[in-house]
Amino acid sequence: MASVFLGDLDDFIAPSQACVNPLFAAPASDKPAAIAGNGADAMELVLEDEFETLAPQVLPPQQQEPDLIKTSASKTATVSLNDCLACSGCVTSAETVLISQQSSGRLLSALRDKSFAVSVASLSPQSRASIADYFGLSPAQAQARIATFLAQLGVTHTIDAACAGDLCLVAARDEFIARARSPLPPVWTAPAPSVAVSRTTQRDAATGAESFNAPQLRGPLPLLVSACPGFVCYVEKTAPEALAYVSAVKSPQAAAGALVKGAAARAWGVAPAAVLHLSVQPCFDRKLEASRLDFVDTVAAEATEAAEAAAAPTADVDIVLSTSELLEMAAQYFRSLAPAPPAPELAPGIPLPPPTPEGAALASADAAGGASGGYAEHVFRHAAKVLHGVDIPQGAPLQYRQGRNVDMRELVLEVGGEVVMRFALAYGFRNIQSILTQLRRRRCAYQYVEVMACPGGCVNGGGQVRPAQETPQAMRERTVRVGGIMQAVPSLAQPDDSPLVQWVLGPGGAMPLDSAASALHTTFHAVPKLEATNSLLARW
Amino acid sequence: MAKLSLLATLEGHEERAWFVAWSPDGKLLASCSSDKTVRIWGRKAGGGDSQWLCVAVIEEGASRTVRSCAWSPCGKFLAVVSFDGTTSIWEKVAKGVMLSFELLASLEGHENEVKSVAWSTDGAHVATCGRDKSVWIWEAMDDGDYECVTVLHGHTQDVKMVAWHPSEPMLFSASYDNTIKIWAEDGDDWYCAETLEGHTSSVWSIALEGGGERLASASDDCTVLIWKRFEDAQPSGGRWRRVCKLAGYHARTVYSVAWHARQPLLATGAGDDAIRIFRESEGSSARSDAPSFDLEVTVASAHAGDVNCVAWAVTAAAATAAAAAAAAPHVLLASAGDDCLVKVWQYDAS
Repeated sequence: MASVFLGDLDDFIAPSQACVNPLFAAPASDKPAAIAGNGADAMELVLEDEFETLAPQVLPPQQQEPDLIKTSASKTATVSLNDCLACSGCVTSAETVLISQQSSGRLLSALRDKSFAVSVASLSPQSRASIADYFGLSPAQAQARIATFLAQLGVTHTIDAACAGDLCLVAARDEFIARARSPLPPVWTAPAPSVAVSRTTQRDAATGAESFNAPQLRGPLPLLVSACPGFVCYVEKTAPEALAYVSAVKSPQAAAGALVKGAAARAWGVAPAAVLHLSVQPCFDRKLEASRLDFVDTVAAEATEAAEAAAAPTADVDIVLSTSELLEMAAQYFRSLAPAPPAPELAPGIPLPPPTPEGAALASADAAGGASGGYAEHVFRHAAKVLHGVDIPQGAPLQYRQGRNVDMRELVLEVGGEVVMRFALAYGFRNIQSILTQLRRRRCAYQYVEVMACPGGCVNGGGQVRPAQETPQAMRERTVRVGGIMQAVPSLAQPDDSPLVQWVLGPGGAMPLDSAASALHTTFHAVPKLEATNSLLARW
Repeated sequence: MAKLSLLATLEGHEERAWFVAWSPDGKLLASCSSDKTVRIWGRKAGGGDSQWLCVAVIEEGASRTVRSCAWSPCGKFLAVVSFDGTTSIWEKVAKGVMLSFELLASLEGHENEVKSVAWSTDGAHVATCGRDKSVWIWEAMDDGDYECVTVLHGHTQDVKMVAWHPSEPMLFSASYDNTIKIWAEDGDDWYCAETLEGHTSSVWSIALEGGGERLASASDDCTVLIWKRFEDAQPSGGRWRRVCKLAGYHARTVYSVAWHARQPLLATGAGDDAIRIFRESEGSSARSDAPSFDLEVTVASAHAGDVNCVAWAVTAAAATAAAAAAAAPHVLLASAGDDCLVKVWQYDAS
């Protein structure tokens, strides 16, 4: 295998460092041949994006970066997004460019082609708050305006992703209670490397043996929240020894995907493949997350011709746009403050939060609970009651203690002068490192850690609306401001109070509990690791 | 005529020697190599500066090349970084005439090769950088352990070297992306305060002048640039500006540059196997907006291969040393080369 010299990079990337994927993935390759010889000294990797050429002229091409992966590399491309996810080496150019596969151009062309019967946008509360901040709107006004804008493009429903977040909170608290009652002993061992084949199947990287892609529900404490795709990607590639601690609960985006393509599609009487699901998120890494094969059904690929159209291969999330990308599409519209056309009607019987009329309530535990989904807040309250009989009244704010820095905070529950529960919120890469070091040394005092890769949490995600130049001080102020807007919605005392949660998980719900469990859980994988041993690197 | 005379050739490394670091008191010299070891050298009793002994070898710890090391300002600890991705902190323990080094802490976090390590002047922080394009700052805890304070992303390529400002909380990093970045503290986190652009290829080495007002940088573009901090900020907010370029002297990549702590001397080590000494011109100083430097000495075949590192010996006892230097104006320089050798040189002014 020749090493690959990427055109615009003045860095050698040994095959073990980048693009290992073509070596082991792509069984009966349905991907475009990725590597084309281009002279003796250089091989160029070519990206073909069928949608790119269809992108409307009004949208300038954008350089996008995943949040965790900092690089300025430009025009280099390889294989596909999920190939990148399965690779241990390359944290370089490929992911950057590949992210452009999920573009506003692709959204517009899909909507124009009317290739989907139903199109649903799930709007994250962080994105909503960022846009509200930018235009001086309330969250409800922003939600309504965005819904109206998307409706004009042809998106039939815009839902509040915080409601999917409430589903995650229910799953997260149940997972924590179960784990706190019977935790496994602490470990620091990486599981056998594997790659996802589909939602239901994974393949052992060493033996090639396929097995059930089973969510890992049992494990040691602390439980680490897995909602952040940057953190998940980092652990899978760089610290797989920590995977045993990682929560099996899906992120709110993935839960929204399961809901839209699952229970909601069934209720609408359409096949999952006939539903286009757009997700608007504060974070570019969500694009990588949406490409995970763990969120794709490929089983019925051969059976599509037949009456099995309902089971055609489909991803739970088709397109992810960052807040800033949405703003770029819609800035003109928002400024004009054009009167909203009548909101499209939802199919009856599905309490997906309807396209919200301005001023309507956006109640959720997710959005009101903190910068990043309210995991620690909600699970702490729930566990205090269930495990320790301490009822913290809804009106009483939790006492967050600041740790080493503003992005490291603790929640401590004392009963009779004794600490019985210790949670942490660890945001930013530096605090992720502290937590991983504690785990490595078996010295972690926490039972639950809300881990997020971005300083300030999801409200400060890399895809949020931000000025081109911003001082650290201004960034902190913006984070506090946007967080305040996001949380300025009615909080639900319990996520169970959400009509959506009741519809999905309640008695006679759309997803009976056992299937809801699988619909709300996923699997993480230790990415096969290959050592960098290329002699060309030895000099450095 | 100024001259640089070879005092001693220290043999022991089995593969290329990458880096040399003098202990703060100038008594010990640490050298690192692709042979995965760190060797500690001390003067032989009665041998003056020309007879050296290997007094300790740190053999365990690194599974790949040891790329760099740094003494703590107190001289008790040695930080060692390796291509295996680890940073280890070793404590010096005296055992009669020999020394031994005990592993105190291991700093894990870099994804792959760690290229450089530097200890802040107050000894509280250790900075590391490497192939994963990141710069890390670690803080010493009371229990002898180290905790990650921040991880700085910004460079777009391999980061070759880190260096602290001698008196302010300010960190410099040099990269394969041709830039130098200056990181400053803001509240409880660090941010990139400035990016110095001027080199046209990899920046291999950086060195602060003793007073901290100027920076020298050595590059694959065969030049050394001198940067100065100005009182007034540029429109971009930057305060460091290039004030001098040493070009036309080096035939190949300049791998190392060292600024003497108290004398107006710059030493360079290069891919043309030579060591060069530059002296700041008469009348030129840190106050000059256009300083100039004169090439004083060239040792053409200083090593039989690339000169990877040069380092001036500095003795901590400033008062007496300065007095001594005034009486006998010679200073020591150490170098490390691809020929596996470490050499000790004596510089004499004209």
